[in-house]
Amino acid sequence: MKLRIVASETKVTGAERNLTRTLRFSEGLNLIRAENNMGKTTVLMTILYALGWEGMLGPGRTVPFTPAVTSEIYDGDHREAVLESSAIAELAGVEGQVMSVQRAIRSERAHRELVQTWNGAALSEPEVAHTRHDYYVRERGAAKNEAGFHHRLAELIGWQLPEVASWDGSSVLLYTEVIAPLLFVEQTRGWSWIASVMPRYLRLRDPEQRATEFLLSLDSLTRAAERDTLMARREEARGAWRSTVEAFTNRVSDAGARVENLPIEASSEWPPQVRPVIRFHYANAWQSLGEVLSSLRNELTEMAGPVPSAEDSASDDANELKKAEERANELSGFYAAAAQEVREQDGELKALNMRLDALKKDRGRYDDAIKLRNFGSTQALAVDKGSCPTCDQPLPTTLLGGEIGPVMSLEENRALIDEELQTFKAMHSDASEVLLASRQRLGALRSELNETRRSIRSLKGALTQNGNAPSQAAIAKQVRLADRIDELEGLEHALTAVEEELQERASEYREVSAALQEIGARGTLTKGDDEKLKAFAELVREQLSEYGFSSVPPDEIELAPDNYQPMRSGSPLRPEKLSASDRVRMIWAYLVGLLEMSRNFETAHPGLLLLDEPGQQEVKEESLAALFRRLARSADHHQQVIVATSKSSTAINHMLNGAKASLTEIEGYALKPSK
Amino acid sequence: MNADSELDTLLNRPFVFRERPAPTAADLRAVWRIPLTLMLTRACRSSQATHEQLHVLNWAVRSTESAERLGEFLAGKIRPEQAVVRFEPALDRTVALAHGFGLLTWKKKRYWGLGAEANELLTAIDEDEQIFAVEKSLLGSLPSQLSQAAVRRLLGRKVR
Repeated sequence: MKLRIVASETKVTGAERNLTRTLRFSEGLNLIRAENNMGKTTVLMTILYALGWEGMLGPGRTVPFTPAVTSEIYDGDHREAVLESSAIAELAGVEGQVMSVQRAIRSERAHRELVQTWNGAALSEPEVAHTRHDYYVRERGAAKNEAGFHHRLAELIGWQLPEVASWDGSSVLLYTEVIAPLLFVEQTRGWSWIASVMPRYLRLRDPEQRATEFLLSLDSLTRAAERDTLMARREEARGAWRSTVEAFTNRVSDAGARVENLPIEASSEWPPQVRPVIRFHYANAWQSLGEVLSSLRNELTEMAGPVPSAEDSASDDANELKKAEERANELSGFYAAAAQEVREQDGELKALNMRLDALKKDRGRYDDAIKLRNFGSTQALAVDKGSCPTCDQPLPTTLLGGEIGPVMSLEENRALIDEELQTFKAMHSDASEVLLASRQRLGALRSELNETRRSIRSLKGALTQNGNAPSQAAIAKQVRLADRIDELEGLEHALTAVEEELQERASEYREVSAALQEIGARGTLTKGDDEKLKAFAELVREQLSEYGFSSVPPDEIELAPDNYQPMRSGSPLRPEKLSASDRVRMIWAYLVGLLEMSRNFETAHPGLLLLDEPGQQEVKEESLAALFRRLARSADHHQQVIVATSKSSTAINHMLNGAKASLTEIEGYALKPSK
Repeated sequence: MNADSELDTLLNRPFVFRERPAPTAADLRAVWRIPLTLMLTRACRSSQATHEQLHVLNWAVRSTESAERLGEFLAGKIRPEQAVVRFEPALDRTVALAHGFGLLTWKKKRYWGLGAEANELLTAIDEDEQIFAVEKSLLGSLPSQLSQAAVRRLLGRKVR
């Protein structure tokens, strides 16, 4: 993996003059020296912007440049408007690839999302005609699609970007903007902690962790991806199981029956000890499908033989009609009552769902509130102290306006919500069961009512038909019986098919669950990962001693095995507990450690590090000198470090103490009128 | 012992009346609401929000439905009566408190901006993915930054 900045150029076309700054960089330590506010950050931002990495600073579309590049050139006595500006960089990647890129900062014609590239050194060899390709950046697909600039950049560096989990559980590419904060430290916000500028709006889960794993080529990254794939497969298996069971349950319900012992949630054990069974509401009781089928078959057998004439069966038919009409009336009453009951129960369940949702939301907010109150103990959010910051009077306990009397503490209130949640969940589960049973009863009543009405129709027909002809009622009954038997046999076969399908799903579910368990048991780190992390931690400790880190003894610092952040005695090292200058030293040690790891291990680090004004927080000159000397060693390993500083050249030379570095001095403003 | 004397025995004991603390919804707690309001402010252009912008965003992050309504409105896919922004007095109290704590600052007599410590608090919130997970996701689902022009269109449009 390799990325080197060969040269960079900032170009500004003003109303009257053209300003420019071209810089060339070599391998090893490159120091850019300029006084404050003279444009050294502009030079580094040109590189960041040309790489399309300004997205690491935030989701906004505003460009990370000063007005001198975007709106107005002002050199103390002369003002003029900026008409156009652009960032250009010449990059070297793996296998001798050289690519030049140009991106508009301000332009009437070109979009900022457009990146023009040339396969070759367009800055160093402007006279050569290089092939041009256009790409886009800061738009959806910039990392994934062929026409996306970050796709091309990853190719140049030699990166195979892995898929990682996003907040919503889906897999997305590890965007290069997420890796960038470990390669580029920006001056204003970058020096508060390791990767403190992290583009969280890209919605990747644990971005610092994933970026570190990627740069160190840890197997845990693959394992995390493997786990995510398995989890997705398990979810899929659960969904498929649920839809199979739901489809079958609906079919059974439509036939006026219900199914028992068919779990809606996926299980790895199948068939269950008690086999699923379909029950019908038949002859005023819930009977199994087998029992009903056998009764219907008997009834049909009894009707075998010649069909009686209408005249012969007239008296029986008249009796039956009377009974059937009475039954139909009775069933209509039951049906109306049952339908009303289902509507009420349905309404109740909906109300319970709404209440549960509201409680869950409130529960989540209480979790947030408790965490936030704890932030408040160290920060400005001192609401809990209870008095108004302006008038020092007691604060109202809620935002309702007037005082409502004593209010529960956050913890008490959360515990109360937990109790309520438990009660409402129990009520919800009970109400769902009751509703299901009522629906099934309603279905059964509907089937019976339809059946009785059909029977009434055929009996009426039989009583008015030609007396010598075979009884319509008897024929219709036979046909209905045969149809019903067919329907029930169909259900019986469908149940067998569902059982077979669930058998397959259960075996897949078992396999996925076992694989997940295995991943859980072996942990995410492999032996190789352990070795790398040990070596990395050693590099960090070694540097911390060199740089004069003193908030805690450097040799007590470890890296957490889960997120690779510094820790001490098993607890994370909180940046606010360190002195400001030690925070800066920790960032140096961590990022330089990542760079140096690639010298002895197989990693994905591109061998490039850019630091804007590392001498922050009045860090001692000896510390900065130790950093510079350490960075100078990058030349021996063909790596590249670019540092912008405002230290004087005498101080720099003193600090380097003979160590090899290339120093570019910028006199006055970085942007100068072009010749 | 008759019923009257039983009652007398009961009543002749000392009574203590104690006010029990009442539960309240978390969104009426300043400790939860102030940070949310800071997040809403940051979601506006240059992290500066007018009073109206805050009310619109506050309404939008209350539920998935209202966030969707706002998204649809901004995309021009919605009938006027479908997105009615509800003004909430608790937000005004939150803003006043946040101003008192120095977390919000009043700029150019027009905008609420973030105080220095607000950024620290927001960074701490950003670092914890669990905190305000729902609200972050709702804010994330809205178009990148809510402009004042869009708010004016939303609040000032004529309902047919």
